[in-house]
Amino acid sequence: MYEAVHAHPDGESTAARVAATAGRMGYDGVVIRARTAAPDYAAVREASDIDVVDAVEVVAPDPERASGAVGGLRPDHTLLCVRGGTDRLNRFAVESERVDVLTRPMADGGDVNHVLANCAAANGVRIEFDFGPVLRTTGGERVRALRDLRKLRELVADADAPFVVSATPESHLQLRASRELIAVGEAVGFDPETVRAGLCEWGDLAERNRHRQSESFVEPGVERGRHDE
Amino acid sequence: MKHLPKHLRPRWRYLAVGIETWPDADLSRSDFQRAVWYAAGNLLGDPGSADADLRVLHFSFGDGAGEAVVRARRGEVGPARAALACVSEVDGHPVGLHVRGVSGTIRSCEERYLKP
Repeated sequence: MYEAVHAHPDGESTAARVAATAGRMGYDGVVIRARTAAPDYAAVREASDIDVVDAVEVVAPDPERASGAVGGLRPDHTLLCVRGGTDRLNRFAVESERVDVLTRPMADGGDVNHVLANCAAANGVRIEFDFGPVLRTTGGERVRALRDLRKLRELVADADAPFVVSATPESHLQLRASRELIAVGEAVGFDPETVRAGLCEWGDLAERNRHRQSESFVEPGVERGRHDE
Repeated sequence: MKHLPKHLRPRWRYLAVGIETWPDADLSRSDFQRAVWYAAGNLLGDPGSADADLRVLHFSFGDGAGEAVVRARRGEVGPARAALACVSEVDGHPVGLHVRGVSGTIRSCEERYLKP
């Protein structure tokens, strides 16, 4: 299982520290969703003995600027996430096949409907269930986050759209082990299997993209390999 | 009052919890207990919180790291784990919590999961 984290300078802890903590908690790897962070991935991977995935999170005010960033960053990173949060950005993300994950679609008044969920399913864009507000806020803010999570859960289940789960930790202190996230998911109405699948999905996605970016890959179904006599 | 016969006594599970903070934080047992109760009350509601009946039994902390044993009713370990995951701050200090393991007795919990 993988967790997608913010590392210094986007978050408060360095990538190495987050990876070490995640390793202690039993994760198989971490996805560094970088905006400005550029850690030395090889060194961090070696020091923590878990997988560290090179990802980028595009945070843009509108789809026009997001589109430029997606085109520019896609070839250089294993995973590409687009931060949602407005209806236009959510729509842009689920409509572009080049995007792997739409993060925080319901934050800041953003919304998702059945059209976007079906579109995400058709384009293979993962929709993120963000557990961060459930873990770290209280009162009305948390009630709204839970209401949004429920709506998203029903839409994703109906459209059979792909999804990922994350606690969006901004420091190593905000990391929670996978069993804790599964327990929280159960307390707020998620199926334990769903949360587990959402945490595993990050790893599967990274593996798929690494394979696609490897030398032997030409296009889906076509690979350069050894010629059999 | 006369103590309960064995089959009527509540059964408990003991959760070993690792605590981590920034180095300048200073936590006390009562602060941690209060944070756990608040988290349980907020996430599980009053009935769920009463069912889980979380209590901090053992607490040690120093230099930004600590450990605790938290008692929960048997059968309520899942909700207890969820409530502990929602403890994000203790007395204004951000904390990281990790349930290291669950045992049926305090002694085995301390022997297996806490530092000697």
